[in-house]
Amino acid sequence: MSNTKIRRLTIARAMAEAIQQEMQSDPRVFVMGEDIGALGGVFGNTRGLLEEFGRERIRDTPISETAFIGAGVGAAQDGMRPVVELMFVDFFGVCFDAIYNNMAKNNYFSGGNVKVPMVLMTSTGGGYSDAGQHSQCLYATFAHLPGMKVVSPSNAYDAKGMMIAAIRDDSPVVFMYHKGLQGMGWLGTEAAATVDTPEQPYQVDLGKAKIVREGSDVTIVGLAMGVHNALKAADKLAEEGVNAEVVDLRSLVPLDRETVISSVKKTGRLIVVDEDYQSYGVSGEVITSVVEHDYSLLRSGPKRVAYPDVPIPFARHMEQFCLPNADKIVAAFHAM
Amino acid sequence: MQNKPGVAVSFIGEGAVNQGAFHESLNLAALWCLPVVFVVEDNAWGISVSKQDSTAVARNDVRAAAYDMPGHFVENNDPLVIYKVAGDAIDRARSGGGPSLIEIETFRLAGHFMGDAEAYRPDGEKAFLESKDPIPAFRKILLAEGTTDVALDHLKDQVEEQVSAAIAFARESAYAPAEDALTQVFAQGEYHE
Repeated sequence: MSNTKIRRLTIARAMAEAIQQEMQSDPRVFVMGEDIGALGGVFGNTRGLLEEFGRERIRDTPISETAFIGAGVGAAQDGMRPVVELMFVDFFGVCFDAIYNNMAKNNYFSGGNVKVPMVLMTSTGGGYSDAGQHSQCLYATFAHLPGMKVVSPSNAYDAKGMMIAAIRDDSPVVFMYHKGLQGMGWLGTEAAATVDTPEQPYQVDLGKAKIVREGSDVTIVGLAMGVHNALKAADKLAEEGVNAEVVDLRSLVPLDRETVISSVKKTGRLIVVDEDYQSYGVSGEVITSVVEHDYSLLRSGPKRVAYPDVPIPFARHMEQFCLPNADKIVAAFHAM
Repeated sequence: MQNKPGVAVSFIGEGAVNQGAFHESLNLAALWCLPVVFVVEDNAWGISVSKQDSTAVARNDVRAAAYDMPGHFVENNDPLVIYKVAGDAIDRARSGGGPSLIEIETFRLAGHFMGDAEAYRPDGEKAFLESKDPIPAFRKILLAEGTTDVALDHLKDQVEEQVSAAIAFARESAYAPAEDALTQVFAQGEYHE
């Protein structure tokens, strides 16, 4: 037995392992959602849990997001630590009151006396022709509203550590996982998201960005799939002799503005990659963080590579036309 | 899951019964046999829109049948009937029998909000409903059963004293610092900008 044996996990398996280990060590943790039992989650992130923990703690629900997310809030306030799945983030439209008025605000409304230690995990992202009600990211919609932490991992190592941190957090955490990174073949998986993931439980602090590639000429900021597009763009730019630094935000709330600012201090240039709609979103917030701090850090105007402000089309070529990609990031750099 | 003996009691107005959340919650509570009592306080008005302009269902207790749970109707805001019906529903929930639905007919004797002129209410409705106010009505019942005026007046004085003391306490207490608005957004008392 070697301690250095590589354990490559998909994000789906890393999430399931994190939940499994927390359930083994903490009887307050349980899971609710649609198709999270026998199926193991449409995106594989609860696989094997029903077999180990049974129907009491792994609860398939009816298609009633308001009721079961509301039930999660109640359970959390009564001392449990529910992990509740909203299958597609796009479905928030039928249950947002339970999320942003109840889950996110009850700590504040009670002056900190009623805590809501709940994880709402939800899938984001497109790229596989699932059309406009199954392909959105909606990062900014959640991050805009106070009272919930909002995180999204780009790889399995972070996914496991962030899920464990989220379950142990006394605040509600929205854990957004990108479908294209899950390791489910039918979604067109990004191979670089499947990485070495230790078996022992560990935490990745929520609210800390990570520099995933060091460079000196331009800072490219992204999260989830955006990180992989940024890394591919950095490879292409390297062929031209341009040294790009890539920042994985990992968390939108809290937002690690310091890491972005430090990076731009070094590079003087900023590109933000965001698969959510462009306007009023992550890119505007990240750029503002830098400009408010010290606008003279930028040697040229910042750029953003985001999803245009249009509903996501079903037609494959139209969706691919709209999505951020490495070539668009390279072009953004050339336009600086 | 915690095997506590508690029962959850959820109070809602008859207007909210037409929300999807109500139906999802009843379905889930019945499906999982949860210890819940749903209490609908029906005052026949959702701000300015009447119950009859909001639903074709005259009595909401019948909606319990849709989720295979018992439904009870309490006519005329009767405290003794409420006591009995609520006790039965709590017993049922606590013994593992699952949820119940109770609709209580009650009466709106004031406007919905401060300064509500209530021009939308039919002439004479409020005066008629005031005659059905359950507090004086129940006093008559208690007197007929042998409770004395002195005892009831003493009780009323005690309650008024408690309420007055609470109001005085609130008026005399200092406001929290305005900066406290920027605390308690998250569990460690912090907020993130």
